[in-house]
Amino acid sequence: MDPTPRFWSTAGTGALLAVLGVVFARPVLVVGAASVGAIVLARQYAFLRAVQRLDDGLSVDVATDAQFVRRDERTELTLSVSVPSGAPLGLAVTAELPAVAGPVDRAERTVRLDPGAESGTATVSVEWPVVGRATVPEPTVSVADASGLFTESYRRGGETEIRVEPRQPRNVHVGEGGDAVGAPFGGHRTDQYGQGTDPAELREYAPGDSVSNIDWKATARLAYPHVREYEVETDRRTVMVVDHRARLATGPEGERPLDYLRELALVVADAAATADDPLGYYAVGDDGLTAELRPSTTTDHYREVQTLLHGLAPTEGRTPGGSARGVADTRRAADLLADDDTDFGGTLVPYFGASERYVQRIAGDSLFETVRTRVGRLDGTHWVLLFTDDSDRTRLRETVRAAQARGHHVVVFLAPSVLFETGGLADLDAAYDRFVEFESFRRELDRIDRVSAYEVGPGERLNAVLSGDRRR
Amino acid sequence: MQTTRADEGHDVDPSASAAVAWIGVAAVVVVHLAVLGLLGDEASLSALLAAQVFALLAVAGFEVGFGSASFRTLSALAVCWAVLAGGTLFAATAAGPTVAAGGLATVAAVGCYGLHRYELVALGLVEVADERE
Repeated sequence: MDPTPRFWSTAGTGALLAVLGVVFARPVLVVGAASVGAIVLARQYAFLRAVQRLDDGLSVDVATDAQFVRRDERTELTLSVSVPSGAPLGLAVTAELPAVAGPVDRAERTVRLDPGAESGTATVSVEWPVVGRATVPEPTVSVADASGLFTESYRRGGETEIRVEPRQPRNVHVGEGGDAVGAPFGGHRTDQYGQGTDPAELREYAPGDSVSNIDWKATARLAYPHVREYEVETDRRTVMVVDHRARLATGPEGERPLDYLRELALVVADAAATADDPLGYYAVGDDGLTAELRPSTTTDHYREVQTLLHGLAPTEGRTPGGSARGVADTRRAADLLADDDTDFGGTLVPYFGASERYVQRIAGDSLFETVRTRVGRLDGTHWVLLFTDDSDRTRLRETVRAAQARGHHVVVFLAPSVLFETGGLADLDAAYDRFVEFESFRRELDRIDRVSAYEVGPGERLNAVLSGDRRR
Repeated sequence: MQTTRADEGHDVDPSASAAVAWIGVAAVVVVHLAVLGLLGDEASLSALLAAQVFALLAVAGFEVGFGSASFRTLSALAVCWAVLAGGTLFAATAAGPTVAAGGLATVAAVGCYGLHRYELVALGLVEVADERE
């Protein structure tokens, strides 16, 4: 129970009477002070009784329309207050929000009941910008006595938990024709024996074998000289070519083809770092190459690849005439405009700044040209991993052949367009037919010598397409 | 039900206006100043008691007229009035106004704080520091 300024004014009046009574020796004024004190005490007692009656009949409830949300999504929070016997005094019940919730005006999330009212509700839309587990605290009940001498606030109702999940792909499916593949990339056996650390097999000694390779325990056990062979260790030189053109931005953030391909690319990068495999990285935007890291095995290199992958965002579509301006020209113009404080300069700077993201602008199909001009010229045999979608199959076929023709092994990770288009699963039979076309294309790629092709996408959507009797 | 006390600001206004809330207090002040002005030091015990009854009836009337005072609330007002005013008058007569004022301040403070603590317990807002104690 908190006293208000009105309480202190009233008490001050009584105190003034008492002081005057003492100073002027007038007992009547002190008795008057006692009367004021009686009024204050009586009102406090009346407030206490009213709060008790209110609390006995008060019911407060907070409900949400979703217990799980994605980052930056909104949920509706409904506050319901009821006093079946009628509120004995005016009250306000406010739904409290955790610090991680987006701001909502306090008045919007407050239910006010006048004396005698029985119920009220308030519904607000709350944004959740921070990932994690958020607890919506119990609502606050505020009451004030009729004469305004006292107020009280306390919590009633229950807590509500909401889990805010990051916007990233869940249930990433990598497979062939709907069948998940456990490890399409990572382990690499050579099937060759020689120097190494992993034991492969025992065989009888043959002329020409080094004496140092003889396994003396096996020889003693088998009564004939045996040598132990080891699996040859090799480095798999890997090059990732990640397509992040605008067409891979279909759907909401976290559920786009690029998001799924990125998750897989990060797994591959991590596997390469673990195995100390040389790893190269090329990122391809609509207008050309946005990142180029030649194969390397340094720790900083792996970290840089992973950083670039995490920051990978779809480019904004092909710029008309973009190839007419060179990178050097763009940078020179950006440097000039950086010192230009005029409105003209301020308007142009963002356009030149955005252009600097490209390492090299490429005319024609940027993915094909990157593979042809960059990957194709790498010395030796590499494993070329292509991360893209199937929206331009003709070009993709040429791209794969361009990479394969140089003697490289090619692994294509394809995001089927049908799994990502908005409303693509409205007609499951049509979606299935489109997936069959995709599967036909994937198999066509897979049949090419030294080429493997896998589909990458949301597992639950793929299961929906292949569910029931549609799967044949 | 949770038992947490909120520290937020208050969102509800009192139903009575400041003028209505002040009427009772003003009536008390006016009555006592009138007694002092009309009778001065010659005020007899019966005159004082009559003034107290008049003031009490006026305040109760205002409480009924402008508020929603119940019989229980009015009874509490009468009891508080009788105890505080009667006790103060007795103390002022027996030991002087200084002692009476000191006693009044003590009794009023203890009464207010006692009701405050009783409310906390009744609403379950008392926090136990260590439940093992």
